[in-house]
Amino acid sequence: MSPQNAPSSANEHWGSRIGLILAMAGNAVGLGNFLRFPSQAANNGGGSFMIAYFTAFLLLGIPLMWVEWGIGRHAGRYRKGHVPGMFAALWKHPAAKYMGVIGLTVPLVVMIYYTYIESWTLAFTFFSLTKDYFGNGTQEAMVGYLQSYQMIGDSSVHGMWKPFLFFFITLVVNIWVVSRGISAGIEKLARIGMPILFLFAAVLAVVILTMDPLTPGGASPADGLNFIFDPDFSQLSRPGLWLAAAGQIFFTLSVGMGALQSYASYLTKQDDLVLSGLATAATNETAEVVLGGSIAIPAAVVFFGVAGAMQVAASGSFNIGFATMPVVFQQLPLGNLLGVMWFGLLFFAGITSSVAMATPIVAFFREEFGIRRESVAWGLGGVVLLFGLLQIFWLQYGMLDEWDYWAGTFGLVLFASIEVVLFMWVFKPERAWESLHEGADIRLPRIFKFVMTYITPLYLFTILVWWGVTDAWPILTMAKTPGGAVPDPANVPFVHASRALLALIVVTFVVLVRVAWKRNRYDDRKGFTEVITGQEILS
Amino acid sequence: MTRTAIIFMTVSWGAVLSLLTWSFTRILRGDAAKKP
Repeated sequence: MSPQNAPSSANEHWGSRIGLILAMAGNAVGLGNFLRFPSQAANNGGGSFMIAYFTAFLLLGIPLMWVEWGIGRHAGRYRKGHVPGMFAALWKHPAAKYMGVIGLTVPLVVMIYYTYIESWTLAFTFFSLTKDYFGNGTQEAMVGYLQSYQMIGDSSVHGMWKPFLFFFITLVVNIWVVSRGISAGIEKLARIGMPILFLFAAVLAVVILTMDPLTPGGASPADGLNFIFDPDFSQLSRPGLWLAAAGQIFFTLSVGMGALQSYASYLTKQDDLVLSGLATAATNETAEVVLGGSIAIPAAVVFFGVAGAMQVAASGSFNIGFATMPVVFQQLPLGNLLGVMWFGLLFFAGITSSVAMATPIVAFFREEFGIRRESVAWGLGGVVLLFGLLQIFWLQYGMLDEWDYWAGTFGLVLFASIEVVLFMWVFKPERAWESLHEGADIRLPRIFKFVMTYITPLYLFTILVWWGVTDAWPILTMAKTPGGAVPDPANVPFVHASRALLALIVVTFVVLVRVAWKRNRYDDRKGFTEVITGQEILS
Repeated sequence: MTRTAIIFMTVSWGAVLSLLTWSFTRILRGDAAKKP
């Protein structure tokens, strides 16, 4: 890092390169690495899924990661740590800043429901420590226990106050970290949280992979690995497999969120992006492919057999994490401590991601309205608290699923499609390539320039069109829910209300961007003023 | 485990761990070389 040259928002900077990579990887490593990946692999042809997965990693994930680092670092020269400013720095057109509103909406919306889910992991860490769920020895009993906590159905198992208390604590911790800033808050959290996360995951993987079959001739952990990696080659011709793999790569690397760009805006021209981006992706893939695949599914196979694990994998990621794993822990020596490790690692995976989502929003208000970081952070906390309470009350009516689909699924792909076109086509491939290699420790093979210019956008538009036709339209018209079920008529008013709130957030950001541009007298056609070591030169 | 599953797992884990080791080794070496 070059703190003295740091051109990022209000002179913040990363303390060290390893700290930056850990924070970037902390943003990428999330609940999906340990819950979504194994069930996706198992449900989509095992080893065949891995072929599609690594193809998507090379053609979509890694190129997008470099694009986002490049966009962020480029905008950092103009002290822009938020996406409307980043897009305006790439494209001198009045529409650019409004297109960037997606980069404020997506992180805010995802942060709201993600913090709520993160609070479940904190609650279950506590419930593991106190053996609160011990006695719920079957999958069905644990699903009932989880749903009671979620205030779905019989809520008598947990007091009403528990979901609110854990959500409040989780939110306060998040906001406190964000309010401390990039180096003293986010980087420090990553330096503590990431090693703990890897340690807990490694211990759990070793414990589970060395378990004996419960009955003579019963399923072993190796059967669980077989379940994930054994290829069903007939599935390779199924487009759904390739899209599922691309979707997983997308979610796991946290691209299309606005957070990676914001983190990268705190870098200088002298800092390397190429190798650091690769190290970040490699750290995330280790957490996912090596550790994520070695815990939940092998454990489920040992306790429920391959057929039972297949049902568990198909029943969804949350059931694996919050129902299956606690059933397993209850039958192991020191099971409550293993439960603490499991939910503790999920909590650290979650919090290092949710603080990243806050970063572009904090940067926007600091840079454009001159508000102090602490004030923005706690103000953001108030907004997340307000909408988060609504998420708790309306979970059973499908609000979380609705927001997760439009912002956390479709929104990510839309955002990435826009940014890759702006960086590689509007900004031009030569400038983008040159910009990526400023300060680089390694040079990329030129084939990646071709990939980033043609293949990655094509890949993204294919996903966008496919999902648009198969999912977005039926969900929009309420022909099905984001989970694929037939919508419950009783939920329809809540779905409308959830969408109206989403629209309200978008409109609010559009207005705020307009006000910010007027307030700061930006000229869309001239661009921003470059800021280097305190001296300002016109770009 | 079937033989193909072992091959797929070994290749997947090997690829990811090799990338991790290589990238961090390059970073640490580079940082050490840059230090005055």
